[in-house]
Amino acid sequence: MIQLNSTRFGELEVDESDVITFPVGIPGFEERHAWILVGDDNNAIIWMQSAEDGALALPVTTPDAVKADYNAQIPREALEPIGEMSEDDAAILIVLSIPPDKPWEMTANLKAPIVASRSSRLAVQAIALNEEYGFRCPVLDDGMREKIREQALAAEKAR
Amino acid sequence: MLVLSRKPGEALRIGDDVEITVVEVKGDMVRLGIQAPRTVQVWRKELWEAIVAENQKAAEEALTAKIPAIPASGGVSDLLAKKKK
Repeated sequence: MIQLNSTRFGELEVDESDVITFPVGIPGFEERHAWILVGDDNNAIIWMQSAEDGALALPVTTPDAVKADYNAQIPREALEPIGEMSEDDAAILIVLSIPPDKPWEMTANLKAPIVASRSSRLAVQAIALNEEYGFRCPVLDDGMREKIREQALAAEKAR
Repeated sequence: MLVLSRKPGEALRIGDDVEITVVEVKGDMVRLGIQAPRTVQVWRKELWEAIVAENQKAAEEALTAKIPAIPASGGVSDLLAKKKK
């Protein structure tokens, strides 16, 4: 059992079996190997919370929430830290940047997806070879962006 | 910084498990072959720096950002932690 006092979720208690292990960490946080995914089924945005540092969490989502036809080309060598994996076994997560003052302008790092094995729960952040994917791709379409902007501004006013 | 000269086909050894071979030199481009244990990730430096910057920015913003709800597909629900508290 892992107990963690997290900045975002308060006291968290999860099974060791829920941990997703990044054998080589992720760039910028190489020393953080154990992470858990926290979220619910109603929001495409979920949290990758460090199991070792309560203050460290990254918002992530699945590729389809950003780009329906996302198809990252990842060289086999980039996945070596987590070993062989079938296509069905692979889960892809995309790191989101969500500006605190303008959450509707959130961007997705399609260039560097996180690839996780569902069976081994090992994961790695890799580079997609696709030239068309950037580090800061817009996430929301115009309608959704406007809706979230209005919600955010209304919430701001209500305070 | 240590600077060494090498010819195509020659190699360098770093520690006891990393080997870098000069494969080809063509104009201003050098092709390198790298052999390293699978726990050593090899990145093009500018890409690595860009990802570090993005990850750190995402983590920093996340401390104060209010996260909006966007429609979910539940594609990774099997990877979510089951909260006890």
